[in-house]
Amino acid sequence: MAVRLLNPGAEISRRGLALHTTIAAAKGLQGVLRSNLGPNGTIKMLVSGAGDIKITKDGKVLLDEMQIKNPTSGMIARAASAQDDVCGDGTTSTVLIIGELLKKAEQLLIDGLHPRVIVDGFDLAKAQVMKWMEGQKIEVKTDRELLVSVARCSLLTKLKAKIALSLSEVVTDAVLTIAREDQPIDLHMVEIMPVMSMAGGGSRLVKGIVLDHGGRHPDMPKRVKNAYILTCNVSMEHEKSEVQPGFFYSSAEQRERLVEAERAVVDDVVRKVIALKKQVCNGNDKSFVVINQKGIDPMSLDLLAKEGILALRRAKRRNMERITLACGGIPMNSVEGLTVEDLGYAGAVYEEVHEDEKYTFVEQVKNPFSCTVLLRGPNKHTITQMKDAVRDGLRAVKNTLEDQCVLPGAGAFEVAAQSHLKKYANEKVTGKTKLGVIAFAEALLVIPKTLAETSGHDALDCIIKMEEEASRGHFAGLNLATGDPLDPTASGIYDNYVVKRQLIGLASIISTQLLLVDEILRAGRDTTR
Amino acid sequence: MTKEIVNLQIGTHANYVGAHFWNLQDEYLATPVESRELSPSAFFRETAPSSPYFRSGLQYAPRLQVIDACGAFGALSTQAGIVLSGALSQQQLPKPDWGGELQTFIRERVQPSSYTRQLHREEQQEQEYVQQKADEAQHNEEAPKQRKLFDDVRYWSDFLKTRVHPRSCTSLPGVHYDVTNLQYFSTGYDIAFPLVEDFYDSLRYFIEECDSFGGLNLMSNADDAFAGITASYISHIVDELGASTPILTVGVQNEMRYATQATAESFGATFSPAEEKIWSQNEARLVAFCQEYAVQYVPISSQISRRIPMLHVKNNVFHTSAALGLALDAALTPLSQGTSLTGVLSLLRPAPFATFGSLVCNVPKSSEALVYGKNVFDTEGTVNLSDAWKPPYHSKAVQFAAPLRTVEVISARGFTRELAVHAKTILPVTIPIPFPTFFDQALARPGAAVPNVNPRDQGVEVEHVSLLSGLATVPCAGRRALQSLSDSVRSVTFTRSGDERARLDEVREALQSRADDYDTL
Repeated sequence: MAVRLLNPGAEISRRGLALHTTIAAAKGLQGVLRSNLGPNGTIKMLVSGAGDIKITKDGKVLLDEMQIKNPTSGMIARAASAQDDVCGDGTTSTVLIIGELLKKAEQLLIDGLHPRVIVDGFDLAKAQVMKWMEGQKIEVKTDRELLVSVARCSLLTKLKAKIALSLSEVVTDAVLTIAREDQPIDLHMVEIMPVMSMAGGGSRLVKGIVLDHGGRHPDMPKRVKNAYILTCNVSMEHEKSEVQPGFFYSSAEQRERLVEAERAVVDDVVRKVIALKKQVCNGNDKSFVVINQKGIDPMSLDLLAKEGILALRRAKRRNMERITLACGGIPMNSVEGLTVEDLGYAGAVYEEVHEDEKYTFVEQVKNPFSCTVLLRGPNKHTITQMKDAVRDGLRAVKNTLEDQCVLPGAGAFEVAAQSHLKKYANEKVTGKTKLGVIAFAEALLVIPKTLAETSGHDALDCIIKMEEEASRGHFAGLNLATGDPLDPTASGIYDNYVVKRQLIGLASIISTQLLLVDEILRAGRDTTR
Repeated sequence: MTKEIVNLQIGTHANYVGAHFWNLQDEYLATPVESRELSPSAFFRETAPSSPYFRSGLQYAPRLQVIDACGAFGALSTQAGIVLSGALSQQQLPKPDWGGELQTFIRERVQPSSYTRQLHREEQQEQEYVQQKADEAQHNEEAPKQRKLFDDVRYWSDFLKTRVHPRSCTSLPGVHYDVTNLQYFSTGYDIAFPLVEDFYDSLRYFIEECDSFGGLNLMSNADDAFAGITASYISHIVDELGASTPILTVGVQNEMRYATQATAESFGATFSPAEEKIWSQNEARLVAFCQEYAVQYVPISSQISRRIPMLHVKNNVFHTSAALGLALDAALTPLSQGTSLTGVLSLLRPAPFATFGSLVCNVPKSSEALVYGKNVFDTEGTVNLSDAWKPPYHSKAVQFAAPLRTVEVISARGFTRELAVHAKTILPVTIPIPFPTFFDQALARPGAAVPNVNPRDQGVEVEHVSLLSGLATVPCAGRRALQSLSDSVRSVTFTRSGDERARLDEVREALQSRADDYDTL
């Protein structure tokens, strides 16, 4: 009422209606993403107003594509995006669980339970699951086989099986390449390089660097072996004076001298590089490559080409870091006092041209701590889809390495958590709060249920079978092909621990907050314009 | 040799201005090579005909990256340019390589504007024409073409004539045109922060191509979330390119923004202090960012087009941005004449942020600009191309049949208040324009009076510009503008969190210290 006094134009929805609106929105969003979950979910093709095509199965991408106007849906979508930002996976699951929690709460609300009681139950349940989870972790060592399984589980939900299988090995090896003892894993050190061409094989891991540009001089070598690599951030460009540059001369001779003087500074830099090249490559089969973050103008390129040096300009800053990690050497900010210790080394540097775009491969490096995932696809939307999936796959492997543990997948974790919570509710919780805990437990089942639905099985049937199997005291996941229970650890189906933990925490926080909304106000200016 | 400039446009309003700017650049390309005074290589990259995207001949594409919300590109596909065909049918869609079920969602097709359709038609005719023998072509001279420019302008791509490179378009994932709330700087900053590295890949593609990269010409919305996106992008770009790379940032202010009560009244508009607070706060933060990274910031406002009494300027972003596009073109002409961006910036350096006025004063004649302007400003927007464009499209130099008369034009506006032209401080520039067709008295906006000169400046000798009397400039907006911006930050009561408050305090300090520096100069 107070709001009405302050602003007679404000629209107010009171508790019943407010909750109803909120829950309807959550269910709506759940409905959209529901068909998405699991390896057998439907893939979605989105065509924009201008005819741009996007093909995706990734929850985050779909949420980005949706024009969400409803504030509740917006809040859930943001929570799901946050899930993706933090762990790189679990977006769809977050939306599903939030929707399911609210759906279960709705039934209790109809029965006359106060939202506060439900929220208390949810909070208890959340704390209990978090505690219980600790005991369910499957500890892992850095075991490639298992990491591949984790990557495969992530990729299979986003890509076709054949591609997912090959890429899961690629992403695992990529992360293992960059992982160093006692240092946090920096996924930026894995470059994802899309190439829109199917010529030259499929996607692969390049233990080295692929740059999306090449030498800018026709006489530069296209393929060199045993190359020293100079990584530098030194301008080899002729800088013009500030305002209107002009030459003032009275004879041709004078003009020549002026031109020379102008160039001298740049040439000096180039000469120093050439001198080093001569020093290290003289009389052997070694060659020399310059990769520069700054520009190299045509005159300098010419000088370098004459010496048989392959020079690349305007490399991105991130690549300067990657190249030195992959090939060794030090990124140089000046050419003063260059020595052979500053140089990196690669067994092969070569150029490939696809669809008018040049790519330079720096390969056969000795001890790389940076690498490139080369993605090949026939068209832009396939590549975008692969790129999104690979990013998530890399995150999954990284999460596993950092957690040093995984959780069983295929819905097994949810089924087990559910039965644990129900037991907990019956034994430890008293009063109406118990109903909230049980609702929370049942809401978790949305994951295995949806997995069963998208694979064309009877959801209830599957759940009961899984529960029966789980009651025998071990994890029981869902076999998507048959609908029968399976042992996830035996089949190599794992989920990231951090993903599940984040998921449970996030979903319960958002849903409890939404449940406690008892008034929706729309007042003031319309901010959507 | 001209240095190559790479361009960057961020935000819908900036893209409207940019579209006009590129249309003008496109006109210069029509000049035969031997009579060219302006070098196209400053802004355009040449594309060899081998590329399937450009069908024939040596084609030019702007060295440009455009960043906008999803859906703001209209019919311009970020993947394939403007496709004329109607709705996509199910059969035309690609079959994804996927074992399971497929769901397809097709958004309603944005139909290309009539202008774009006509461009495509003419291009086809031109191709046929090229195939014909020269003597047959002689008969093709008559039939002047009329292109209606803004009958159906809904997006900036609807009147963009230049064809952009497929790499040029970057849409912001999760940000939807007219849906996402893009009011606050911090929204944009947060959106862009994880994306800038990917954005830069496209920009770097154009930069890497340059044999002698001359700098970055950046145009951005000045007062909404796109300012935040710009700020976040600038910090990345400066890191990548090094601090010595010249960067010019042009901030396009909201067309509904009047800055002060008095200004709003003089246009008969309502002034909204609440929005002005948010706008100036956003702009202040962008300015502070530009200062931190030593990037020159030049604000421009569509008010200048409103001040032209001769025109029917409807509150239409197409029109208001036209004047800005025109002015920007005039201001940046030196770049096509061999002046480096560093040179242009060094002229601006004395002021903390120069206004357009000081940019424009550096301008030589640019006749094509005005022909374009004429067509855009024409009464009802019908473009009569009979004298400027003749079929075949793109093959004739622009010719002036009308007698030229020199009119002094200065287009600029103060940062928060406008001043008259100080003839002593700033040299008005002369641009020859065809008279009287350009500003026909008949086109005058009903009741438009020549605005009064600020009484405070009456002691100074004031140059009255005969035709565009409404346009005024600030020779040096610096001190006062900074002060007022800094004040605006102080007066802002709107804050969302303590964090935000702290950041605003930082901005205020930065601006204040800059203003103090300026005082000591």
